[in-house]
Amino acid sequence: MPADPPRDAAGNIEPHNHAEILDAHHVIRHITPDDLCEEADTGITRVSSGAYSESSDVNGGMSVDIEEWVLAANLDALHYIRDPSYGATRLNVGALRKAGFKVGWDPLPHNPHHGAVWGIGNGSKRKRRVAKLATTIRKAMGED
Amino acid sequence: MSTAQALDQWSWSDSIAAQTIDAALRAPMAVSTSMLGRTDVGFVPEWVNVFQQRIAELHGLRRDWDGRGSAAVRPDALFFAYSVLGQSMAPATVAPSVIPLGHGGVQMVWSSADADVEVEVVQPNEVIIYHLDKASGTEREWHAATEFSDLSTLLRAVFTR
Repeated sequence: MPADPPRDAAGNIEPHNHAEILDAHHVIRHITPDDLCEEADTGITRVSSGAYSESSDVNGGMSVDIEEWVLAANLDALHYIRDPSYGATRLNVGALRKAGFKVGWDPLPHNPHHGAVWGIGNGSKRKRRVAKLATTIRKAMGED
Repeated sequence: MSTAQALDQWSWSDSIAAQTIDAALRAPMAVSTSMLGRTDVGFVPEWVNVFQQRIAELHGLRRDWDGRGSAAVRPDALFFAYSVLGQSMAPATVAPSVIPLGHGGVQMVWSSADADVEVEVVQPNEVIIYHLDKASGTEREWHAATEFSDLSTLLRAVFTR
């Protein structure tokens, strides 16, 4: 088992860089059809920067799966994506940290391989910085 | 004044009086193009129909709708986004893509070969506007609450057919 993530007095996981999530590792962001936007002049549909937003939970970061941990459990990398209309993108942990974001462990009852990326906040600039680091693993329904 | 000029200066304010999403969706649209010397009752810009349809889709999204822990889409954020458009769009401005965000707000996106414009409505009166000029590579991001003239100028210049 990885070392416990740091928690605040209320038990919420605090933003952190988890030592056992290595810079060489990758995280997977689920992409929904609602994350897509359309280019006005070409009609091409692509993933918007809004796909990389943090959740509204206390200390909420951007929800991700830790790919190498999923694979180490002998699961498919996209095991936790159950909706067939959803796609996925992959982000290198070291590149995220170099860009100033924190990548930590944020286990859920049904997903012990769940992590979070903190520091994105509101507005588009940082979301777009994350988007630039992302590569597509599987397209969401409707994505060109 | 030409029809094109008049439409470019068109503003949409009456339907902002609706106080709820449901009321806004049902509100009749009467647009006075007085500069043309006539009133076009029932004229509805295409972006209004597109946006209202998208509001109806997003209005039903509940907490964790995406399995990623996102908040339910806030009706007040949707309604405020609608009012931002009302202040910013010309009749022939391209409708934005509307993306639900993790905090319950929405992002409105216009994208072309020339520019990207992204408007994040966090909640009413808390809006963050981003503009990328692709020719120069210049990025600008600014906060807005109730005044959207810079956004309007941008949308009318770059995303109005």
